[in-house]
Amino acid sequence: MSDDIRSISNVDRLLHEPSRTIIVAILYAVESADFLYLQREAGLTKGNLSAHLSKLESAGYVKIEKTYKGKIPLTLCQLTEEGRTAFEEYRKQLQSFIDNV
Amino acid sequence: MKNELDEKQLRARQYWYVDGTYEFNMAGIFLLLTGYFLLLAKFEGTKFGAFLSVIMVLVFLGGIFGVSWLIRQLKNRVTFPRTGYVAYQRENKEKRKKRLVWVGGFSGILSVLIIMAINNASTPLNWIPGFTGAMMAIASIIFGVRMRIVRFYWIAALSMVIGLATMIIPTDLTIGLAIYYGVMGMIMLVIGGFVLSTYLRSTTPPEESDHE
Repeated sequence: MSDDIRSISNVDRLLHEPSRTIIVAILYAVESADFLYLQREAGLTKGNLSAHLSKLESAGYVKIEKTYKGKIPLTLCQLTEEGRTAFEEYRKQLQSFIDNV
Repeated sequence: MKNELDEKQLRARQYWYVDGTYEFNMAGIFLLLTGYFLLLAKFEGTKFGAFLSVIMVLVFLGGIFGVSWLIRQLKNRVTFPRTGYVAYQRENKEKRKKRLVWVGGFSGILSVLIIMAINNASTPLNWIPGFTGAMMAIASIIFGVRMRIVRFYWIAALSMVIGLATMIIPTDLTIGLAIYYGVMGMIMLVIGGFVLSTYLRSTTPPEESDHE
């Protein structure tokens, strides 16, 4: 197996899924974002977004906090330190793969 | 994919400016300064006028905090329930301190120059509105480049033109500054109104159940 193929096969499989990559990329740029914002920006249905967030939360990449803003329920999502590091690493791996191809 | 990720991240950073509240924020501060300079012109040469020129830094900083609070309320009621809530990473202490020094320094220099103008009418200080316009233009260009929002370039150009025009008008310094801030404040209100109406027309409030 060549180094290029090995490097792409080593990427974080959890992040290497388009919808989850977008969710994490958005969260990487901000402190936190709510469910509604992520749903609109990622172009996902409620069910899909919930499923992806659950996976990311289980991996310890995302912290989810259910709260209220006035009377409106608010689900706040925030990237954890672990999630930030994982995303940085993922981008580096992806970049090095692109550079080598 | 990489470009799409960069685009999403840029959009997240631009989200703060999507509804025109930034322009309303600036309009509020500018119009507050307009009122301040008009008062200063009216009471020029009096003890109250001297007091006003000393407290300029406080008016400027108080205006920034007060208007920012009002804008946050507007976002809480209009933008966040409509298209979602985003919180941004707070600048570290060092960066915030630096910004405060810049803002405080700029308004401090401006108030010293105004006091000089009041005490020495023969000193030509007509260039101050032009300088203010140029500073605002530079700040807008930096913002435009960082956020990749085209309308900031227009704001920069308008600020430059109005600053230069105010410089040419043969009038007192305080009236000149009142004209600059007044016109810029009205322009910011118009741009903010346009951006807000575009935002409201292009988005629909979600159903109650859409909030997870």
